[in-house]
Amino acid sequence: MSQSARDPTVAPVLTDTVWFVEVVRDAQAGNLSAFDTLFQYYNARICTYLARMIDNDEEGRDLAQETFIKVWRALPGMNDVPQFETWLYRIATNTAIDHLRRRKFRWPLSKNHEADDTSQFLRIAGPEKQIEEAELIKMALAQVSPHYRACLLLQYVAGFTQREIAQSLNLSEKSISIYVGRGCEQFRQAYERLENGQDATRKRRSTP
Amino acid sequence: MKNPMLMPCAGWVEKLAVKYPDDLSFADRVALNEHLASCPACDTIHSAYQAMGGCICNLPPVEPLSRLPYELLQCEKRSAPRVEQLETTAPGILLWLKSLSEIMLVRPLRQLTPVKSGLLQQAAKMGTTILSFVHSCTHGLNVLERIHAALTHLHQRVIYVSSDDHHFYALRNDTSSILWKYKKSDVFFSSPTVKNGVAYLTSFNAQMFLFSAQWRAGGDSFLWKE
Repeated sequence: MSQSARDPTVAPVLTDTVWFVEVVRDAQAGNLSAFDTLFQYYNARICTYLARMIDNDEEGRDLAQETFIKVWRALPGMNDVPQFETWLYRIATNTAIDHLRRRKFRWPLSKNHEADDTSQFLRIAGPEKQIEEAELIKMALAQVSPHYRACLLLQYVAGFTQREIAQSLNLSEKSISIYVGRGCEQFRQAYERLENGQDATRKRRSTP
Repeated sequence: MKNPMLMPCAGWVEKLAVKYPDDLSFADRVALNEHLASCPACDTIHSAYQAMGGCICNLPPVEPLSRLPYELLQCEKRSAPRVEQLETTAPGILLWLKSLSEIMLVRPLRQLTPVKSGLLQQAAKMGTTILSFVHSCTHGLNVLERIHAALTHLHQRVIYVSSDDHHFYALRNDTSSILWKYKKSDVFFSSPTVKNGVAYLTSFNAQMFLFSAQWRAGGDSFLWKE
């Protein structure tokens, strides 16, 4: 993975080292201990990425588990060892998008349920500002289209450049540029709406 | 991020959303900076996008998995090379199978009698066949089932004959060559019955003889008599 696109003040990431490539090759050859090393390195990040993708921490962990199983099984067939990270996130993204499709199919009312949760959240008196802000961001993120959300998360959470996102999602750089732009705009508008709604609720509550 | 009605200029959204410098060419970066200097709306949105990225990055991390998925560890056990599985689950049987060919290596055939060397050659060939057979068995069976299948396959290729020359013979079905023989002072009375890996027969002096139907390298197959 190219490091030049990243912030030059940040130390080179582990994935650029020869050692890392060796670990991936060992895991590819069926060495579970080597795979465990990769698992330890990506575990938290993949869990966080998937939890943000589907807006649910517990399900995110389940999907992370599913992702690592898929990765283990598909690893022997992976050709480009230095691109392991983008490949891993591709599997994670596809797993999340499949899950969102299934969820939409099985529980078409889940969106309303989320809206209920939102209003309930807004009714909670005096939550800490930081937690409130984090919840607002998560809710706004959940309102972004899944493919745009994946691009946003790969850019901001995984730290991928648009070229790497393109490799990861098997799309052109131009498409990724458009997706990231639209994702940002959808997020901004969703956040503003939620924030304004929250302000209005607070005002109503404070009015005698 | 306080003005939802604020809209970026057409054609600039993608460039405003870029995070890393290398995602834009030098010319595009210069053009973006010039545009931001002249367009307050895009400048505000650009700042909002930057803040937004920071907010997403700073969300509290999710608690990770405690260890490798259990299913994955189980998969690993199942997908281990089959010969290794045999070594862990049925060491005696595998050693026996391997010994068939190892005898050929450690003991030159010229030191053996022609009958023994012939037997060993056959045994080595059969041992290799069994190993290949067990190795190529499909996924659905467990190791012991595969070994049993291989041995059953072997039994079907062996015929047992009691002879009035006081010998009990095990012969190859295809070549009729002698696999092993057992000598007795008296004559065997009955024809042998083979069941569950054991050959049964009786003698004129009312003795019951049991032989292992499994093929042993080097030794006879006598198990028990009463």
